[in-house]
Amino acid sequence: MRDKQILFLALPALIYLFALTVYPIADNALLSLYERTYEGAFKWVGLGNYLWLFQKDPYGPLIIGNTILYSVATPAISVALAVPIALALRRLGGRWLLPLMVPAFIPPVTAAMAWYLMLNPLYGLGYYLMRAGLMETNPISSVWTVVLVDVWRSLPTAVLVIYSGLRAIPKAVEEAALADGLAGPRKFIAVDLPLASPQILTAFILTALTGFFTFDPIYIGTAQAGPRILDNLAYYSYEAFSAGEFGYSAALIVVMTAIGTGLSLAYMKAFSARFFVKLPAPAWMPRREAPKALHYAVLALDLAFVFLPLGWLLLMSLKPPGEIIQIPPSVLPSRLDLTNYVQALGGGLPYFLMSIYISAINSVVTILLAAMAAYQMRVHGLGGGKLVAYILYLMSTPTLVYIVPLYLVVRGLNILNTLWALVLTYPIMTLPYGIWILYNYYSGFDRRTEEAALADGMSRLKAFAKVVIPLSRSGMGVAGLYAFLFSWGALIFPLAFTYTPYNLADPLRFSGAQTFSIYIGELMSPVAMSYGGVAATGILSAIPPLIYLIAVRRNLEKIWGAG
Amino acid sequence: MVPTGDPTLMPYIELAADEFMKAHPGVQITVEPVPFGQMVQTALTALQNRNPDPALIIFYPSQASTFAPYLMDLRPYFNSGLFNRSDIPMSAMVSVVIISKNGTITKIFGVPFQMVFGYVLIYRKSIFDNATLQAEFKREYGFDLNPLTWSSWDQLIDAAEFLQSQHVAKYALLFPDGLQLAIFNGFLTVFYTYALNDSCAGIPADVAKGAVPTPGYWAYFSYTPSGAVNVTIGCPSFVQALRTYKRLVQFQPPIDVQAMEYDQLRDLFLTGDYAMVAAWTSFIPIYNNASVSKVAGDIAIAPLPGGRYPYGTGLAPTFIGINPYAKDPQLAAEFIEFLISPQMYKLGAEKVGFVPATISGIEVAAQTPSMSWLQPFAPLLKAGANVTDLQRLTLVNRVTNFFTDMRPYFINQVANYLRGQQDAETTQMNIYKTWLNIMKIS
Repeated sequence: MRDKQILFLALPALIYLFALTVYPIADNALLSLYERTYEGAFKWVGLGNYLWLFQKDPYGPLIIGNTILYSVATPAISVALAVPIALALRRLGGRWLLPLMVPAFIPPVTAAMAWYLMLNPLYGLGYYLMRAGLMETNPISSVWTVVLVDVWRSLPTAVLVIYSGLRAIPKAVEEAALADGLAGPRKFIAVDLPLASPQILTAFILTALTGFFTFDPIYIGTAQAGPRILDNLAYYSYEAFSAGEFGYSAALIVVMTAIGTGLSLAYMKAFSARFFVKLPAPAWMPRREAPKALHYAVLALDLAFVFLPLGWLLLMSLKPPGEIIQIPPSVLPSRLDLTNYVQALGGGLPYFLMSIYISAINSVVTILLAAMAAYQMRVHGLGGGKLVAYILYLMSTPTLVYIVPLYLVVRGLNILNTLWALVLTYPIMTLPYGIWILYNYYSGFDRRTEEAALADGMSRLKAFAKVVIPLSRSGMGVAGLYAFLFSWGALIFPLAFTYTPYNLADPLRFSGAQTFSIYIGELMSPVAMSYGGVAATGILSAIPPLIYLIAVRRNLEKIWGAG
Repeated sequence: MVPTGDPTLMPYIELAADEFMKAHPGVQITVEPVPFGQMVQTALTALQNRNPDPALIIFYPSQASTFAPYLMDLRPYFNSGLFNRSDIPMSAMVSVVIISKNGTITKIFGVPFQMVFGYVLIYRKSIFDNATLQAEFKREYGFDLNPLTWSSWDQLIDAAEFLQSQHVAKYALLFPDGLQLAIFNGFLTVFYTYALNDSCAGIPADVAKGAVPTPGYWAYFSYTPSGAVNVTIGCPSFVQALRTYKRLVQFQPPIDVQAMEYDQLRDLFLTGDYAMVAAWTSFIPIYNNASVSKVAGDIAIAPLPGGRYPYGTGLAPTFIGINPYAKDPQLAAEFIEFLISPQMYKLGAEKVGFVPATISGIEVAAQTPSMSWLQPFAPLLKAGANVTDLQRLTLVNRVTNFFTDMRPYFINQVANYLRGQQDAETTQMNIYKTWLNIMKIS
């Protein structure tokens, strides 16, 4: 180690991560070798759970197949769609980026519900599609609808990353291409595609994670498709855990993280090998720039794709209760009814406030810790490839693994059911992702800036605080945005560590810490689900992340442009 | 810990908590609402970590086997008389009783305190009270257009065919076939009525003779003479039930267009497009809510398949158990006693329309004018007061992968049959062979 202060800066994040993740992960691996008996004892079964998955479980192969399908089809389709959209954005201007980003900021459960309500063949637009003969069965029951919802959610990220890559192509290269008579599709094949390859690869991995962890479209679709038919390993492990089959759930998580880590390592290998996509340009491919109208058409189609389910959700939220499940469905409400919003805000206020608090605090904690670690990892090579690999491994590990061990910690500290329990645990979800985002960001950072500060007599700590941090604001803003998003949509941790709503009668104690996602879950109870209430809550839940998005929109492309 | 969603459960618990705190100054009860889908995870996290909160945990029959190892043994409270065993039908207890291999009860880990009857037939009075329709139906089919007098699934199907032909509603009958839970519970209702008369299924004599409304999952498992566990899926009654089930779901949109899960059963009947629905009694307050329902005030209720042979309508109790690490388990037990007392049930029926799980509670609640529909169901509860072959009735609790592996396979196979992708015999054989292959007995 060249400098102890380098390690010192990274230590808070690394100590936190290692202290809270190594034991649960090892414990989970051990648990996968046991089976729970009816009496509650744990019986050693060796590799029995794994053998069960691959040899006896009637749905084992299907679930592994679905996991791979979601993890491959979602990024493949997202990236394929994102490339023309990113090209259109580059041509027509980045102002269109903001509306296109909206789906990335909708809580996953709301996104799944929006599509479910819109495609429903009885009281959604699906009714008219079926009448027109455009579909014959309920689309919600198909694995491809899971992919569709995931593409909807992940496409904005793919567009953003690829667009940033295209924008980062040096002007001199653009001019040289122009001088060579290269424009339009031919230029894209010959110049843009190779140079934006790292971003395309990054987009592929980011969107693959959405498919890999997808949960809510499966939850919503199972009642129409049948149990296990849509499941992936993430969902199945949760189901097994919920049914008390802890050993089997642990084995599923081990298999899942093995696949996830394999994908991550493949990514790292491709990235470090300076992977470039180079395709031959066919002779028939025009050299001219594509007409502007074509770019507008691409953007219009994407905007329609983005806003159709959201528009339907908004209309649902404004309809009187009796009209929501009317058959045939009415597109517009007969009158604007704000009952659903009154209900959502009335009952949901304590949950909403708690979500704001924890999301804001966790975003700040995450970006500070992540910046301190990521800078040292990228610029000073701290930890090497192994540390990066561990960070990627954590990104592919479901939070389910941590619940039981962390519960012990939270209870031991006497902070159960308080805001502080969430403050302590949330960074486990967001810190690896934050480190990885900033690790990417710092790849384009000029380390001479820090060296100049050191030459001026600053200590490394001071140089980091006074020079590096101010220059990292755009990257930290985006890392914070994703931390905010994860915190805002989190469900498993608040369910485990809180049990009452925020006590508004004694607000400064911050006791009672159930979050808005729990409130949405309550509204979605199978016995008393209020579609209007869910729609209104979904619309409301999108507002804080969208405000954050607007605040940091200018930084979005900088983060990924570095490559 | 209280699951959210049920329109009467949370209000009743809050009401009981308030009353209990009034009677016990210094006691503070905090209600922890948990969404249905997260109940098990939330409770298990606390129980596995020996946390004292929540002191009391509410759960449903399908979650019972998961909680069995972790909840407190309540036999001392039953033995001391704090909980009145004779007032709680044994048929409602089978999910929370653990029996040793020699047949003795080794643990009781829950008390049923809310009763949901299901499925029941809920029908539109405005249609069934129509004298012209009644006369025409009687002339054509030879029996009354009155569900309380029916005795078989065939009569229900005849009535549905008649109403469909008369176009009195868009659809005559809404029957559960949702692929998450409804198909499993809906089919069981039909299977049980056929299994009662099928020696192969071996329904215990006292249950069959007394026609106890216990169409629980237990009916799928039996002991062989050697003491091994067998499944009854291979019995002739299973195929009969499959065929009848397919006829029952023919009056609604096809399963591959819209499978009828609980939310559809709840929502679609509200639209007024259906003449009858097979539903849980917990939906009744929603159907009668005039702000969302077009059928409010227009419904009547009968057991299934008909009032004369109500054996298709079962008991789906909601249980309450005690966390063994609670700060004061005795106080928790006293709260349960209070919760199931006739006076509290009376208050619950009057104020929130709550349906009790005890025999005396049902009798008290049925006297409340708005709950008079309960009256036909009181005898069903009494009929289940005593059952003898508890070992058979609790055998399913020992099948550790029943819900995780066996149920999903069953649902998908029956769905394939309903879609017309395979015949009844193939469906039966697929389930039978696979269940025997994957069944894990603890």
